[in-house]
Amino acid sequence: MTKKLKYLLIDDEEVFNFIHSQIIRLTDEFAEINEVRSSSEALEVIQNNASSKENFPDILFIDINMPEMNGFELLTQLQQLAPTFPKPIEIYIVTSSLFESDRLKAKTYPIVTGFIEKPVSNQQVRDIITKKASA
Amino acid sequence: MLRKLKRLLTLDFEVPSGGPGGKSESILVEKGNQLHELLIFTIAIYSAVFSVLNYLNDSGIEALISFSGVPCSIIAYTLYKIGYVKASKFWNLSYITGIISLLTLVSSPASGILAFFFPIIVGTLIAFQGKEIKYGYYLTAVLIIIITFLVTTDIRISPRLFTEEGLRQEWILNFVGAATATLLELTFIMLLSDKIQRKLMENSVVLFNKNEELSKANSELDNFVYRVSHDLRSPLLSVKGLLSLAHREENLPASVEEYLKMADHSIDRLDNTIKEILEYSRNSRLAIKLEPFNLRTLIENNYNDLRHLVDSRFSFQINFRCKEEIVSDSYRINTVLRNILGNAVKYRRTDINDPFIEVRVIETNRFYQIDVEDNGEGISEANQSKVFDMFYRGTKTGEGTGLGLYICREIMTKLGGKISLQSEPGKGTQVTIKIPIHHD
Repeated sequence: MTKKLKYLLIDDEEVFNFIHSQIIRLTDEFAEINEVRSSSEALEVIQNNASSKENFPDILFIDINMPEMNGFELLTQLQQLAPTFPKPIEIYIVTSSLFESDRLKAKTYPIVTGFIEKPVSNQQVRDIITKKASA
Repeated sequence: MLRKLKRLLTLDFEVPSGGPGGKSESILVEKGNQLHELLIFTIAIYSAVFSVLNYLNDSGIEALISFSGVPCSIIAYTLYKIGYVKASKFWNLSYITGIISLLTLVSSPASGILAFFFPIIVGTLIAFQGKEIKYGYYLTAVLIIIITFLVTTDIRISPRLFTEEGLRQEWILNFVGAATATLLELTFIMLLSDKIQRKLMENSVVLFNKNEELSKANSELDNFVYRVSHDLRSPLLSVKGLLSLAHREENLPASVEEYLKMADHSIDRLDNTIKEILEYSRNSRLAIKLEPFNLRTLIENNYNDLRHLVDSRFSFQINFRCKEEIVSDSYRINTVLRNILGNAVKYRRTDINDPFIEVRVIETNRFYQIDVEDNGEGISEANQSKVFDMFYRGTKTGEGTGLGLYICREIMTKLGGKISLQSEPGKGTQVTIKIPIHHD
């Protein structure tokens, strides 16, 4: 069995963090899931674990529409912090936005792995895990 | 400089840009047309006055030639009115009047030159816009001096002018006639240009402000649509997620499973409605974005998204008879293809053994033509004309919003293309999409 994957779910709407963590657990029973409800909390988690390969998340789900610091602003910060990450991470934009402009904007961030429409499906979680395993 | 002169002579009105400009342009063109009408009317009157004066002067042929300006004006005006000649070309026709009048030069340089320059003066005055209008007046003043000079130094008759009574009379008549006509006309033009030009300028300023307001309202609407679609979809998608979780619970009673499926279906329909309203608003608000893309890939991707809906009997073929890389608005074309292919799949016949979709792409002079043919349910003749209407739904089942094909038609109209449909109930449907190759 591969090592346990650590997920960090970032969405201001608790219900999506709940749904996504349930769906991840249905596919990946060993998943370690951390849910936060704002970009600043997410940054805290990232920065506090920057020295620990063990605790650092493998996979991030980031919502775009969030109060205070939105998903893109968080991505900008993460892009700057990327050189300090102890291991490669996969970042997925998970959103209900139908705007092509959001998709195009997400593509401009090299650290973004993919763009997924809410709610994330089982199949998508399986694909994410496969991609991570082959990375 | 040359371009400016050309613009000046073809009455190319400048239109304030920014925002949805179509309306302001048409109003300005309308104003321009009114000016043209006045212009040709003036020329006609002018020609008539001159011919009468010449007739009084007892030179028949001269009067006839000069008078020819009248039918010429009328023909030009008629051509323009019946739509044969565009407003911008109309000005060129007024030259004909001037040139024909120039023939009077043969017998009288004064009236001939005056006749020739007259349309140019009018055109100059009308064509000069905004700040430049004063140059129009300067030019007019210079022309008046030249004309007056030519009139008063009628070379052919001047040596004997003050000795022969008859010639003196002719000279006086000629001069008075020309001067009166010139003064009358110039006064008229000044009044006309002053009044209408000012009006025109006011309109431009008002329109410019309107455009500013509109583009502001547009960006606010953009923001609004963005927020609303997000705020509507977010809770909807969370319900969808929760339903799928509920569905995964073990030992669900069959009835509950059925309820969950139905709830999920309803959510999808509501979501589709939101998507289509958004699509409609996006098409009407956003400018066309031209870029090169691979049309075959776009078609294939759209079918791949639908593949899970059909079984292995279903066949999908693409026949490409032109280059695959084209330039158009890929986002809008994608929306059209998604709708058309989606319909072909949705309304396939499940009772036959060889359901298919065949896509043919060819290139004509002006269009890339995509034919999407299927052997599905088809549409009755009575309904064929209505399927592109807003909120029209061809089926009695609760599926669809009745917006899909309407949006397709809106998009194709916006792109300067076409979409049409041929169908026979029970046999199938062929939708033809024409994407313009050239873009102005």
